Amino acid sequence: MKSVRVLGALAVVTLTGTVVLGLGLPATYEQRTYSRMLALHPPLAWTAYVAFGVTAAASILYLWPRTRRARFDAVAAASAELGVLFTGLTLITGSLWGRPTWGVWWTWDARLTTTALMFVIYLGYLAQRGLADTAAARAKRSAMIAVMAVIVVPINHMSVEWWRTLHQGRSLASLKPGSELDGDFIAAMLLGFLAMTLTYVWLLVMRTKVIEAEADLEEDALADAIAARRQEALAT
Amino acid sequence: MSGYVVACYAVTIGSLSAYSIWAMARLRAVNKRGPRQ
Repeated sequence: MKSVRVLGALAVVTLTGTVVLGLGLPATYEQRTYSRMLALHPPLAWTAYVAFGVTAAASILYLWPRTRRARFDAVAAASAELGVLFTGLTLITGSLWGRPTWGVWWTWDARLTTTALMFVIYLGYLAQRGLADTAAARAKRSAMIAVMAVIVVPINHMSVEWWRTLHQGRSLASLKPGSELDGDFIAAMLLGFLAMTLTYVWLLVMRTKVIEAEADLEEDALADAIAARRQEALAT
Repeated sequence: MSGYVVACYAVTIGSLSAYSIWAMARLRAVNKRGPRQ
């Protein structure tokens, strides 16, 4: 519990720093104050990629017989849930940036479309986890889906290079030395990346613990129900 | 400050805060229930 508290404190401090630094960014010639959203939008998208990557990695570990543990299934589920949250926020913040700069809330651009696709795929992943099934069957099916679903992540990341898009190039590439981005913007964005990653790790630890505990409870309830039916059968 | 910028920060921080509070409450409830018998 102490590590959860430390992670939480670090997440809150870095997020506060990102807000202060982000809102304090100078207005630019082309984008005026809208460029202040740069401290949040790319870090949110990056964290969604990390979350779906972790879901895939944990799923592979679950599928591999030698490393199969129920904990990996819980990590995959918790990470996918967080990935959906961060992708949803990426879509909303992107839309809030697109309206004043592009003139539209939404356009069927390759980056936007693949992000929406990623959101829907992982919503589907979470929905299928709710289907009635044994814990082992659900974990195996979910792991196979997660391994296939992760292909959308590199497609989404590279979409701005592979297709002619309205969306600008990869934000991670702009963090290299000699890029056109000003130092203040790089600092705010880097702190944003750190803050979102720490927030993700903190939430992942908490959600994994809860999902594991709920799975135990479900197993106990099933065992109790089977025992009760046996008692009934013996009594008749 | 543009309304779009304010909305962007408010939605992000508001959503992350709400989700964190919910996650902490769920964890507290699970811990209160105690370990498996």
